[in-house]
Amino acid sequence: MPIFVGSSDIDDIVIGTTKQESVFVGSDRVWVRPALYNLTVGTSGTLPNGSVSYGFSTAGTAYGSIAFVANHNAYQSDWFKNSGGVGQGDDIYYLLWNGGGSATSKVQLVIGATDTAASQTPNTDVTFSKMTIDGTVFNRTDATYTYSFGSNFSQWEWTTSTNPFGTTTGAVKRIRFDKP
Amino acid sequence: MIEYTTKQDGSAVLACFSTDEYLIEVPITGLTDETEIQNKLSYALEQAQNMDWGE
Repeated sequence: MPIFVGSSDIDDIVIGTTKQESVFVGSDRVWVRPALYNLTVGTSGTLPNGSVSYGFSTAGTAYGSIAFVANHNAYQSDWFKNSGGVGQGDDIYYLLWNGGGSATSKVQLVIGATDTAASQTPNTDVTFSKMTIDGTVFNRTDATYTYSFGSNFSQWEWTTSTNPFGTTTGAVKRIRFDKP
Repeated sequence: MIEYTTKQDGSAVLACFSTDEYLIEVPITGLTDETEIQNKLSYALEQAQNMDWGE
């Protein structure tokens, strides 16, 4: 559940010098410190179907990069890694927008790893309830979810013609994951 | 024709089905047209088959 100050969906609550990890109203947890990443935008260039991707990918020819903002002290330090029973998806394998050509324009988030044992990252609020890319919100329940039994990769896909990363390679975009 | 089950996820409704290779969950909140639902499921399966899954 978000907490707003004015129109700002806050990602940080500090009392004194202590970074608060969660907020409760009675016995109901209403906020947890979100996971933040900084994504440096890269591009695939034109793909065989005429589309172009912007964002970060380690699949095939890698482009862009992503870095977990560790000093934000997210509620779970290993948000996507076997934490709180979430599964063993290693981390973000790619996060990109793809559009143009004959492709349906979309944002894709894939969690998993090729170099470590993994298991399904479930499509529940335990994993995340919403992802925010540079201020644009993507609700998990609006996404098509696919889990590959072969690779143990989990993917969320949102259909959208708007590229939330922009087209400036090298630009840094803030990625935020929330859960209730 | 893809056979599916539905599940409630908060206020959202998801259509769920699996193949030997994939488990797929598609949001169908508010949809009642079976043809439209089938089109969404078919598209999701096609997308899964065309993905790079790092294998």
